Order: sequence, then C-alpha cells, then structure tokens
Amino acid sequence: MSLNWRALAPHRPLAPGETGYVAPPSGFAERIARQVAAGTSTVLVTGPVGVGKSTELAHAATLLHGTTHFACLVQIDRKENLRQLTAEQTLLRIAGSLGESIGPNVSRDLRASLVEAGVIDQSFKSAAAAASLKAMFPNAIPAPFRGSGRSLARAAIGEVARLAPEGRVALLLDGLEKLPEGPKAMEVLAALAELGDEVDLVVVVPWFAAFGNSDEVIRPGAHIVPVPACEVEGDPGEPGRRFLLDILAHRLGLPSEYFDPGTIVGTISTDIERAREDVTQRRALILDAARWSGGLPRTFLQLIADAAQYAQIRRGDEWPQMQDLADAVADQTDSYRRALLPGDTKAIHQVLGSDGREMALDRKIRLLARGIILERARGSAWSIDVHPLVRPLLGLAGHA
Amino acid sequence: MREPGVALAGAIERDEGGLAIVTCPDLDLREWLVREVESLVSTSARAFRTASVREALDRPEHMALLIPVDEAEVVRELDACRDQALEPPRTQPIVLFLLRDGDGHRTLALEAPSAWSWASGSDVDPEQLAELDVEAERTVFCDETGEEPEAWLARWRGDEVPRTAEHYARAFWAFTLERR
Amino acid sequence: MKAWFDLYQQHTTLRHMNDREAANEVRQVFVRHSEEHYALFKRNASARLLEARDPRTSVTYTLTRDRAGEALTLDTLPEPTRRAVALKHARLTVLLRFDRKRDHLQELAVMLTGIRHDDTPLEFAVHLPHDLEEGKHPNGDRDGLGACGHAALHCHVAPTLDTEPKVRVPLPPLRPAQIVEWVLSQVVPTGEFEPAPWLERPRKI
Repeated sequence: MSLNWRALAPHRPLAPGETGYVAPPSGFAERIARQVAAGTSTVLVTGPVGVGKSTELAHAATLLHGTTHFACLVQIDRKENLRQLTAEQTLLRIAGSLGESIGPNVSRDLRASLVEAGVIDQSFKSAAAAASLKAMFPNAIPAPFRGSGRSLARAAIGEVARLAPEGRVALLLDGLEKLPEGPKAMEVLAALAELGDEVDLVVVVPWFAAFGNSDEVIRPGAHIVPVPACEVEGDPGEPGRRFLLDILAHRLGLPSEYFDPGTIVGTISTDIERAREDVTQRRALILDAARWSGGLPRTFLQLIADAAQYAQIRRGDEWPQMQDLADAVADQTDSYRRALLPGDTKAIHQVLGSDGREMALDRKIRLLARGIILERARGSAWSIDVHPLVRPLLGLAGHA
Repeated sequence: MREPGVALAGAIERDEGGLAIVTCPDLDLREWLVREVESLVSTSARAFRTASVREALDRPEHMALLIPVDEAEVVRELDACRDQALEPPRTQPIVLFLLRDGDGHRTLALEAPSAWSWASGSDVDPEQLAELDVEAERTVFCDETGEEPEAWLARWRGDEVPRTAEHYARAFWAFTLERR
Repeated sequence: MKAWFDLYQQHTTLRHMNDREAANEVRQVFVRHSEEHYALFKRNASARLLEARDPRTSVTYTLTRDRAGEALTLDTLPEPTRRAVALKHARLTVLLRFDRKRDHLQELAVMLTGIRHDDTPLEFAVHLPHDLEEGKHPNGDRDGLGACGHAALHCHVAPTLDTEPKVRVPLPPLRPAQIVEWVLSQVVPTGEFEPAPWLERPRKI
C-alpha cells in the first residue's frame, strides 16, 4: 500500500462534519457544545497555535447544530485580512455566513443585500448573474437594501432564527485570534456585543483579549476557556499519545490497529516476526514524535510529515527512520530557537513550576501564543510547562 | 548532518500548499538561494517570483517565490491571511525568502504566531546547514573505514586502493577532511 | 603540441566558474531527467546533491552522500529506449570541489558505474584532477606524460578503472552540467539529450 503523506496536511483543520475527527482527551468540543446547549451565552476560546482550536470549533458546531441550536461556523480568516478587518466588515461577514448557512431559504432581499455588500457569492455580481437574479426574483426591488453591518447581521440572525426549527442561533467565530493588538481589535470584539441576546457566541479570541477585559467588552460574564495541549509524557500522557496516533492513522486513511504489533497474524513465523518488528519500530517513532510535539497536533503532524520527507528524499523509503525524526526534531527546534527573544530564557526559568503570574504579560502572551510555554492543569492548580522542543534550548532535559 | 538540499526540498514539499521559509545570510545570497530553489523544483510547480502576498495567494496552483520588499509587512500580511490559503486549497506552496536576523524573522517572533506556526519546521537556513562539522565528519569517516582520513588517503595515493567510483568518492571526502 | 597545450589552457580557463551557478546547472539536469517519460532519476535527485562548506573556503558538491551514487531508473524507461540501453543497472556519482572565494573549480569527477545485460561491468569516469600545487602534488593537474597523454579534463571508459590499458580520452572544456548530460547520453541513447545543432543547419560540403 502506498501512503499519501501529503494527506497529513498539518496546516489544515477539519471542516464541520468532515470524517476523521478524533476527540482529544480534554473532550473540548463536547464540553463547549454542552455548555452552550445548557444556556451559556458567550464562550471565549484561546489556546496556542496548532492546538486544534479550529478543528474543535468546527466539531462543536457539528455537535450543536440541529439539537438545541442552529449553529453557524464563521471562519472569518478564510475571507478577510485580519490586519485590515474593521468592526463593520466583521458584522457584514457574520451576516454573509448566516445568509449562506440557510442556502436557498434565504430571503431574496437579504441575499441581494449581502451580495451588494460583497459578503456572499461573488458570481451574483456579474451581469449574467444579475440577469439570472432578476429571473429568479422578477419582483425584486430595483436596488438592494443597503444597511450597516450591524443591521444586516441582526436581520440575518432574525431570519435564521425564524426559519430554523431549533429556534436559537449559535455563532461560532473562528480566526479572530489573529487580530493584531490595538484599539481596532477591541472595536472588532466590541462589535460582537451588537449582535444582540438572541444569539449565543463561541469566539476564538486573541491571547491579549483573554488577559484583558474583553470578556466584559463582548458580553459581561463571558466564559474564557483555553483549548489545552494534551499531556503526552509519562503515564498521564498515554491518552494524549493515543489521540495523536489516532489522528495520524485517520489522516493516512489507516485503521489505528495498523500501528499495533499485536494485531499482526499470519502463517509464516519469520514474516510475522519481521512485520511485527517493523510495526513496533513505526509505533515507537510515532510515540516519540508525540512526546516531542508537546501535545500540539499540528507540531506532531509537522514532525511526522517532515520525517517522512527526509525518508523519501534521502532513500525513497515510505517510512521514516529514527534519524529522519531526529532531523525533523532539529528542524522544529530551529524554528523555536528563532522565536525566542533576548530575556526569554531567564524569564522562563523564573516561572518554571509556578502558575506563571510573575511573568510580564506581553512576554507571557507571546510565549503562550506560540506554545513555547504551555499551561498545564496539574491536580487542582495550573502550572507552566516548557515545550519539549524548547527545553534543550534552555538547558533543560528534552521530553520524558 | 542535515543535508541542505534535502532539508530545503523537504521544507518545500512537506505541506501541500504550505508555507516554507528560506533564510538567507545576505541580499546577494538571497538571489542565489532563489535561483537554487528554482533549480531544485519540478517544472510542474510552475514557480514564479513575486513580492506580493496577494499575488501569491491568488495563484494557488503555482509555487510562489515570495521575495519581500518589506519583510515585516509581508510577514504581517501572511499572518493575517494565512487561512485564505485553505480556500481554495493550494496545491503549491509559498516559499518566503527572509534575511537571517532580519525584520521578517523578528516580526515572526514578535507579532505573527500564525505564520510562524504554519512554517514551523519548514523554515530552513541552507547556508548554515552547508557548514561542515569537520570533527563530526571525521568521526563518521573513522567509524566507516576504521582509519583516519590521512591514513586512508596515504593508501589511496600509494595506489593501494582499487580505483572504483565508490573509492573515488571516499578519497574526495577524505581530502575534504584531511588535516593540512 | 600546440593543440594539446591549447586544450590544457582551455581546461585551465574552464576552471573559472561560480560554484552556485555550476551546482544549479547540475540540479537542473537532474530535474529535467526526473520528469516526463524519459525520467532517468527518482524524484528529488537534485536535492541529493550535497553541498558542504569547510572552513578553509572550499565547498564541495557530492552526489550522493552515501558514496554509492544515484541509481538510474533504467527499468522504467519507455520502449524502445529501454531495449536500446546497454546497461541493466547504473549509478551516477558527481563530485565537485570549488574554491568559492576565487570562483574556481578545483576538482571534478563524474562517474557512472554500470552492469551490462551479460552481467559484465562498465565504468565511465570523467576526471578533472585537483590543480593544487603543494608538496603532495608538485605538478598540480599536470599528470602523466604531458597533455596528450593525460589531458586535464579526460574520460575513462573501461570494464573497471584499473583495467589496462588505462585509456584517457581528452574532453573539450565542458562545464559540470554538460559533462553529466554527456555521460548520461553515452548510456541512454535518445534525442532528449544533447539536441544536435546540425539537424537545423545545412551540412558544409
């Protein structure tokens, strides 16, 4: 069987309903869906890059949709440059996504307004498409309604809530974590408050917002929930390693048992032994990559994909060897080294083992956002952990 | 030793439609590294040079060799537009050329976690990787042959070693590692 | 003797080249011959040309690092080319050494080790010896009995490189990429290599 390593696609989150979702040990999406179903109106999501925020949000949307809520996932970063995003455009994008989410059931006037605003299907803008629009709606008003982002978003929410049998609308907003810090970002977040109480919100927010007062800016009493990097070291890390192995198996289109030497059976004993040895080595390599990843699925997939590239380019081998993984680890370590700035080493040493409150906020945000330091729940307390790829750079031992 | 060409090709090919960063020691070497990438990649990649993130994103089926005029701005824009590369899905990567210790890398470290994460492990410094660790390679040579490079070369120069392509390659490598 | 001396001078002049440009040209040969239906190499052969820089300013390019050479994918060539190839296995080795600061090609070896269909060996080896003049090499690249006996850039073709007589065929001043193409063209006969300019030009009578 020829493996498609490109299917790992470390940079691509799963879309709502896409097969291959593997629940993390934290059960994040289920937890969020339960909270919203139970009446939590605003959840602000944070987490380091590559931890799976987008995939979890998409899955939460799948879980919520058609139960207590009509769930609409808005991947605002797929359409907008977050550096230029305004509050007005944010609301228009939300309106556009809501309009698209009900497909042909959207009213003609709302559709025309959203086309005019440039936030749904651009093809309606062409002359031919305009003619077909006219054919579809012979009694259309001569010019589409023009409203502010706020009014169009609220109109869309109203229309969706009226049409959807679930009654209540949940908006899951992904991508706002890329907002650069500054007053404009706070304006965008504040604009979400204008969506009204008829809609429940799950919003991925920037780290600076999680440490600031944006929970108050968006809605009073918002819950801030980080997507945790799973534990991958030692005995407590067993479920996390299994989770990452399952992700790999799914993306490669293999059953998870493919990496279990115990499942290999046959009749010729020497062949079985060789096959078991191969599988044992592959499993060891995957679990080693899982430990190096620090529990970040993207880093894990990048390590495996990089090691596979070394194997293919060097020797034409389908599976990487430990040296290939070691070189992939060295590549990742180089990236982390470049992300460290003067003063980081000392500052990280000073907060090791604590909850990190003594670290200067801007440094803490920068290091948390990149997963250079990770917040781990240890017992009833939070503790700062250093990413395994960073530890050797700080003179600490690598993964356990 | 991570082979610079292998690391570079691996960085470019790791993620279909991903982001690879080539780190360049200076502007002259940046041009040479662009040419090296052009000489490495398949013609089917239809590589083209651009300074514009927008143009790179708008041509998802072409390998964009992104050579910034303003590194910091390009990194910021990539950070803000990263997920636009998912729709429509790119089939070719964006290869970004940044100066070592330049504004682009600093912006990645300070302001652009998404772009940094996207390229993590695929940011390669081929010039640095090409630097030979002579002592480490001498150890490898001794492990493979049981002799120091000088001793092996003495036998080679004395015509005691058969002339094969493999031995020519070993002699070439021994000459590189020879203490003079 | 003038012709031989002129050839030696041309080989000396040939040595002046930028190593990065020369390496890129070689990579392009690999890319060209890793694609389409005449693929002679597996993908990414160009990436396996290993660049290594030592602190004494010299830079080397080696294909391949494990010294076994890069295997040619002769068994996947299309017919009738496959039948026309006299070898059933072949491996290519490329070794280049430059003085980067002087833009100077110090040493070159392009070798193809093959096995014929009757299982007998065949070696192609193009050499440009190191021109360093030092205690161990007092004559630099001036080997043998003068330029006509041992031209600086020369080729051996024999079952093994130790087979007597050790014939050395002088070559014109070809750049490394041209040498790689020429060696390949000797074992894989196809118009894809060395497009013959005389096909487009009238013959002189």
